[in-house]
Amino acid sequence: MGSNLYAIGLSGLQSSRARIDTTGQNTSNVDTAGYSRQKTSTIAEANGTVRIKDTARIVDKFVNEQVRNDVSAHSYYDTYHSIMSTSDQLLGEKSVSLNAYLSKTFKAIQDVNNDPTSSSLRDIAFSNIKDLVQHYHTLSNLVGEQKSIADKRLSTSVAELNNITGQIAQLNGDILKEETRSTSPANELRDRQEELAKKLSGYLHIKVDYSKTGVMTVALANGQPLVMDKTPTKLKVEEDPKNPQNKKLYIDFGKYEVGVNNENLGGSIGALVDYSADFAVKSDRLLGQSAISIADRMNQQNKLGLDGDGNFGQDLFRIGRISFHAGQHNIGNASDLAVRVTPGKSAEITTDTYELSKTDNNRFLIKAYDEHGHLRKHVTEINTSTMKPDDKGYYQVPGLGFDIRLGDISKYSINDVYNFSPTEGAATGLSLQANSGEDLALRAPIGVQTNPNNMSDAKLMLTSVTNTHPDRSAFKSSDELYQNAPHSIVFTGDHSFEVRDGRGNALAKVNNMTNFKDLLTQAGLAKEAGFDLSLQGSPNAGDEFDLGPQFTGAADDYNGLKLVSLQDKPLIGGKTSLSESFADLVASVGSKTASLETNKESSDVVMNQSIARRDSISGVSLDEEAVNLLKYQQAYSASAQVITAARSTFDTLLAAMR
Amino acid sequence: MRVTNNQIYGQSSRAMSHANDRVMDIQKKITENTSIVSPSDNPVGAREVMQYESSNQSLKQYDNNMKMAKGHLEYEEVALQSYNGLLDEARTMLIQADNTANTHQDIGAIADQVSSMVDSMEDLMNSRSADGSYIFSGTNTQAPAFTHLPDGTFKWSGNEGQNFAQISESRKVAVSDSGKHIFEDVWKRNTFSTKLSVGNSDVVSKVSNQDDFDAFLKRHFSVTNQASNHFVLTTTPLSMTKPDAAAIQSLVSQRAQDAAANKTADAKNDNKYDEKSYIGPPGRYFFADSSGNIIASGTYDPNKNLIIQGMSFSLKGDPGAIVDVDLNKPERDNVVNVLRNTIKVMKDPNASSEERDIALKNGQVSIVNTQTSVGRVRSMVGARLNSMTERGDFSTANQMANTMAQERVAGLDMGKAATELSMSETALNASQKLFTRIDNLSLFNKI
Repeated sequence: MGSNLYAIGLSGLQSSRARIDTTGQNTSNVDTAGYSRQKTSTIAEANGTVRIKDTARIVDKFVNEQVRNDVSAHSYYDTYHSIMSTSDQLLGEKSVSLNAYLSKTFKAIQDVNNDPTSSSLRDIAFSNIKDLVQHYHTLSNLVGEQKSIADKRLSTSVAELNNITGQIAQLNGDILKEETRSTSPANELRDRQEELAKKLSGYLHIKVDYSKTGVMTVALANGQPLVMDKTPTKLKVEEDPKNPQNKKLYIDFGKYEVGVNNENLGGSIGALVDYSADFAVKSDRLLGQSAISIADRMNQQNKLGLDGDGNFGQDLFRIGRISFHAGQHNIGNASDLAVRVTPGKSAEITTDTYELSKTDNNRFLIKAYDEHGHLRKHVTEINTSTMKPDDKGYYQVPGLGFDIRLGDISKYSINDVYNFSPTEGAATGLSLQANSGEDLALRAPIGVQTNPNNMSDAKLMLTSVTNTHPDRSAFKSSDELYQNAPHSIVFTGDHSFEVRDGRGNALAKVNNMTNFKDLLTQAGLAKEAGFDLSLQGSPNAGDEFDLGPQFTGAADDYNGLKLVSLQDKPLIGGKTSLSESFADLVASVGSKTASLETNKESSDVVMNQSIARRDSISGVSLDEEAVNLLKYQQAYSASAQVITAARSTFDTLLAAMR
Repeated sequence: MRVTNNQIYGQSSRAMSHANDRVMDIQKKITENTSIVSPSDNPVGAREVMQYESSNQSLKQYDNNMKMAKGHLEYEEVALQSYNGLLDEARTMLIQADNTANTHQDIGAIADQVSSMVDSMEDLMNSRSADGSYIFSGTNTQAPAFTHLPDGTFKWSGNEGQNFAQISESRKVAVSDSGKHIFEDVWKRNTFSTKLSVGNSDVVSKVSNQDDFDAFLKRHFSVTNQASNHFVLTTTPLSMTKPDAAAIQSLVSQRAQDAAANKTADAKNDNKYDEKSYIGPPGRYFFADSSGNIIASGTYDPNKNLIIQGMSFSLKGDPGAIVDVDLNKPERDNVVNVLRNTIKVMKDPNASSEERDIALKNGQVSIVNTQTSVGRVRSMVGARLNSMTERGDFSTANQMANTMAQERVAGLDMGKAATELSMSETALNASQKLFTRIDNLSLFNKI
């Protein structure tokens, strides 16, 4: 009986002591990350003693899963937002805006138009054009730099992730070992494992499950496994063979690799992959499109005029080489393959990726993919047996704005594929071809002389110049027309005229004219000649007008005005002007960042709520622990009193026996 | 709900960082004085602001173009104004010279004065702008518009190009006018020539009314159809009612025989017989074009000048003559060359009064025609300047509107911002104070 009381008192002391220990552990771990408060539970025995059942964590697995999901969502938006906001802030700066540089360049050319003979104004215009090219580089570097930072961050993230999955797998082993040894669960190890899983969910959206043996298995949201029992799989980042600008994730099972679907990865890794694919590539291509458009159109226009030295204008800009990527499974090796922008067709250039494949002996198929990698409906074909390449071997692909040189067709095998995107890297590839301000062609290549014997005061004006190429126009050189080209226009009546060549022979006669516009078009000669003229005022029979390059002067700004007018023309895709297109890019970055910011904030609130819920269940409350401590101290004292009581009972008994 | 330590501290630290965030944000807006610091603050607004900005940039450029264009045009206007003044003076001088009371010395003096005016005209025709370019030589501004040829003529040597300035997205304005159209391609005095084909009248003709004659020439002259420039003037005795060439021919030969007989008789009588003097009834005239259509007809007094369509014919002698009248092809030349010729004739002591008269008329007509041409160009220049002034007003208003729109989209309401700043600072303060409170709230402090 007495011994039983001792036993009861002892068990009380022991259980109180254990609870005080637990309280102490809770109190000291109040700030330990991932620590879940523990509780020692006891069972009352039939003999009146108390038995310590176990010390277990207080956790709610579902709440923890919610926390992981919310952490990965927040981490996705937070990471995405933090990279995007860099671009957002930079593009918003006035000094960084492409439009400021475009305005400056066109302003400088306008200034030269005011005095085309001034070489100092030409120098200023030239240096402005140089700055513009430089700024295209700066902007594309800005995008490119962000992208390479994102790429680096992606590979370190993946390494970190592999480290975590390794640790989780190892903890699985440790937990099994520990839990077979003791009745209590391996509380601290499980806390650590769950904390790692939470960290992991910051990188990727994951699913956590527990096997029958109680160990943790981790899988991607789509079910691809990351940790199975004690073996982790490795995640790898590699270039996407379809589009080497993009990165693709693979799971390495040792013997083989499985590609991971890039969509909806979640977490910071998902954010980095999406940033690369959606923003970095897209904005690089938009800038490239802008660079190609201005370069091509300025080049074409410049060729239609005479430069400061009186020669035909040359290209002002050089568009960089378009690089292409051979498919992994190609058998042939097409070393001569080349792609270039069709001169004058830059409005047709899109930001798509194209895939060239050989379908049979003389047919090549070109498929287009949009920026998300979706195949476009329209497919173009090059048939080498029916299409003729130009003298350099380029086939003009109709409607796409680029030419392809295939080279030796025997070097292609059926089903070989080559990928390229004309706008990719085009902003970086843009360079200056002109050497000085004198290369700006501001003068009209042809002028008019009114015969002094004309009876009327009508004036003939140059209305368009479309071609100055010596092989395809009236211009033999910058200061001479071909003999058989239009040299003069003679009105044979008030409503009829003749176009005469250099020897005075009629090239064409027009009678019954209804208006005095575009005379060479009316005569059917405009396309061949490469220019056209209109009459102001009404002519008299016998009026004569001579045409020729000698009738223009160094101060002429006919072509200069045409160059300047490109500023407001819809150059990009034939729809938007240069400045609008850049404003669109800035607005799209802004709205993307703004929506990311909203998402980031809402996911932050959601995440904090579920963390609070988790804390509410598993966190340590010091007040509670203080109360418990007092309570258990009292219980301990009370149990000690039980022993004292047992002793005094026993003493009383002994004294009675004495 | 169970409240744990993590929650208490976590919430208070979040509250502080959030409050800090707000303070930073509003501070940035205030320092940059805009509600759109980065495009994400208002993507649509950022795009609008950029577009207003580019619009303003272009408008500023157009303003600048207009400034330059105005400069060019005002130079041109000043040159043309002084040129017109010189023409006025030269014309007055020529009218003064056209007076029989003048002695040869007087005319010589006038010629000297006109000559110095012509020198000034030459100078103005080769006017140069501040940067040294010739303003009237078309687009060949490095070379003079007019040069002296070895034979002394002053010849156009520029081109007909015209420079334009872009003053709005769709409007261009010419900033120069070629001297060829202003000075060189000016009509000289129109004339005609006459030739007696049948008859023995003495034909002297001249343009008596330049305006009437010019109008007649304008109606009939053709470069391509020479026949339409040819006219025939027939005079007949009153008895004839139509210009019958054969009848006149026989009349004339009959008269010649009579005259020859008379002459021998007169010679015997030692009488001087002037066969050209005619005293008798008036004659009849017919003025027809080359295909015989009669344009004018009537009776005339052979001792007076017959005036048809501004042309004056003096046909001394018996009615009965056929005169070929041909319109001379109109010619153009600058007034300097014409005046130099006039001066040459004025100074020539051997020049007849008719020659001098013609020279003075040539000079006057060229001056008037040049003034018309200069006046036309001056009014065009004025119109261009006016349209630029209007455009400038519009541009200013437009820029103002753009700036206001920018302000509306991205402008910062200072009062609101200041309120927001103090609110966010208060919030920060409060959350900091709250933290120090929480810090003391622990049961452990009390046991």
